[in-house]
Amino acid sequence: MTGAGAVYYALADANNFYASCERSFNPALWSVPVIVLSNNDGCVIARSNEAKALGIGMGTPYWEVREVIRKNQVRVYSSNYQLYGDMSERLMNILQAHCADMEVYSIDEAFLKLQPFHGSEAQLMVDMVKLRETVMRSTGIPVSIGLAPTKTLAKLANHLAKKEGIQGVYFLSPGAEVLAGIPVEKVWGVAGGYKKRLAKIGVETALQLSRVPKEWMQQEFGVVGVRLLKELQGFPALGLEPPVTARKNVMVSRSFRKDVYALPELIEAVSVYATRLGEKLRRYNQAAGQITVFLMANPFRNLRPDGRGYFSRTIELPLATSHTNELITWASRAVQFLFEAGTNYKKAGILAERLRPDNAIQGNLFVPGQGREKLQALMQACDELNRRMGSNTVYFASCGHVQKQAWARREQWASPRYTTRWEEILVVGV
Amino acid sequence: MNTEQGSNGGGTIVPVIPMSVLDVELPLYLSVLAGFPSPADDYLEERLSLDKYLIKHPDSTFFVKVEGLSMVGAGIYPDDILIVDRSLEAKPGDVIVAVLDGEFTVKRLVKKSGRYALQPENPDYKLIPLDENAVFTVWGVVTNVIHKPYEL
Repeated sequence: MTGAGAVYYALADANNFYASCERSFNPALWSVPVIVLSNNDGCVIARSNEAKALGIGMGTPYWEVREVIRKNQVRVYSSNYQLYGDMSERLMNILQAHCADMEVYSIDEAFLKLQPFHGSEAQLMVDMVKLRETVMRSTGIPVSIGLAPTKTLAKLANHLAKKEGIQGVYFLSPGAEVLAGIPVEKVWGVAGGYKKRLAKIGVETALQLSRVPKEWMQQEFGVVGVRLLKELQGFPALGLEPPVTARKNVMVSRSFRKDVYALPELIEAVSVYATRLGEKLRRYNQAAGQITVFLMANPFRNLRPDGRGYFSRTIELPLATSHTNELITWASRAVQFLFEAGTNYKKAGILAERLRPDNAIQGNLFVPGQGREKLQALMQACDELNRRMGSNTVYFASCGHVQKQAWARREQWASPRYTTRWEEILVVGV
Repeated sequence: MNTEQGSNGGGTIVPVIPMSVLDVELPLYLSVLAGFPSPADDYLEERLSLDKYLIKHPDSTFFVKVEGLSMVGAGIYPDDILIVDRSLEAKPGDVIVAVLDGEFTVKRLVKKSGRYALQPENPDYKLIPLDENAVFTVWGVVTNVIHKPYEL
C-alpha cells in the first residue's frame, strides 16, 4: 500500500476560509473572534477558532448570538464574495502550481492526486508542510492538508489535520488506530440512513466500518457501499472528478431586507435578479431554455390565512436566451401571475434550466429571429461597461433606482473589496 | 429574369433558363484576397504589458495604497500605490509591508551588527529596532512603486 510506487490523495482545505480572508487584510483581527454572516446578514457562515470556542454555531441566526457578540467583542462581517472569490482563485492557482492533477471541490477545498514521481510518503509529508507554508505566506490563508491513499481517507485525514496535525498536515493510513475514535457519520458518504443500518450490526466507528465484510456491504448498500469500503481500506475507488465545463442550471435568489407587500417592488427585485442571471449565463456563453420564478413568504411570520409559503411558476421560453431584457420580461410576467395581495414576501429567485450554448440556439418558426445580433451586441456592451466601471454602471429601468431599492439586501458590515476595486484597496499608514 | 420562352408545340410555355445565367464565372484572383500581406506577419510579438513586467507572481501580488511620509526618501509618497509580492522572502535591504504590534507599516528591513530593524527613509522618523519582544510579521515585499510625478 505504502512506499514507492503508490498514489496518494491530498485534501487541502482552508481553515475558516471567509474569516481568514478578512484576517489576511486586517491584522486587528488576528487574535480576536471573527464571524462572517450570510447574505442579508442573516446567519453565521464562517467563524474563526476563537468564535467557535465561544460556542457560536455554524448557521446560527445572527440575532441569536447578538448577546455573545457584544459581550466578547466578536468582530462581525457581512459576506464579501468579491474578495472571497478572488482569494479562492489565488489559493487554487497556488495549489495547482504544486500539483497539476487537481479537483476543485468547493470554494475553499481541493483534492490533489500525487503520483509516485512526487516522492515517497515521507517526502510527501515534507512537501505538504512546505506547500502549506507557501499558501500561508502568499495569501495569508491557513490551510490544513490531509494525506492518504484514497479520497475518502484524505477527507478524514484533513479533519484530523485541523485537530491534531503537525503543522496542519496529517497522514492517515488505512486501519490506523485513530479511526477507532471517529464516528461513522464523519465518513464521507455515510448519510443518516446508513448510520442506522450500520448501528444494527454494531458498527459505530470508521475503523469498524473498514472491517465490515464486503458481501454484507454489497448486499446492504450495493456498489456505492463496496466503493466506500474499498476507499476506507486504502484501495482507491474514487478518482478526481473532471471540472464542470457546462452547468446544468443557474440560480439567482436572495432574501429581502424586509418583507415586501407590493407588486412593483417585487418586479423591481426580480428584474435585478434577472439582470444577474443574464450576466451569469453570458459569462459562460449559455442561454436558458426555461426559467422558474419563485417567491417565498416570510417563514417566521407568515400572514397568509392558508399558511402557504412557496409559490412558483415555470416558463418555457419560446427562444432560448441570455438577454437581460427578455429575461426581465418573462420573469416579471411570472411575478404578475404569482402575486397575491396580503402576502408578506421574504425571498424571490429565478432558476434557469435547459441551458444550451448560446451559439446553438434553435430558431422558432413563430418568433422573429432578426435583430438578435443587435441585442447580443447591446448585452456585450453593457457587460463590458459594468466590468470596467463597476457593476450597475448601466442597468434596465425596471430594476428601479439602484440606491433606492428598499427591498435590497443589507450589508451592514462589508469589508473593502481589496483585490477587485481600485478605490477599495488596502491603505497602509507609512 | 432573362429567360427565353420555348414552345414544345402543344401550346404550353416552359421557361428556359439560358446557359449564360447558369454559367457562373469564378473570379480570378491575381493577387491576395485583401490588399497587400503585411511584411511584419512573420514577426508578430505580443505588445508590452506592464502587468507582466511588474508582477512576477500574480497569485501572491496585492496593491496597497500609501498614507504618510516616513518613506519619502525611498520614493514612496502619500497616495502612491505599492506592488506587494507576498510570496517573496524578505531580505535585509528590501522595503517591506510589515505588521508591527497589530498595525501595518512600510519600512526598509535592515540588519545592523546582527540585529534586524525597520528603517524609515525620512530623517524626521526614528529607526525601529526589532528586539525579542516585538510582535512582528512580514506581510509582503514591495517590488515596485506606482507614482504620479506631478503630485510631488
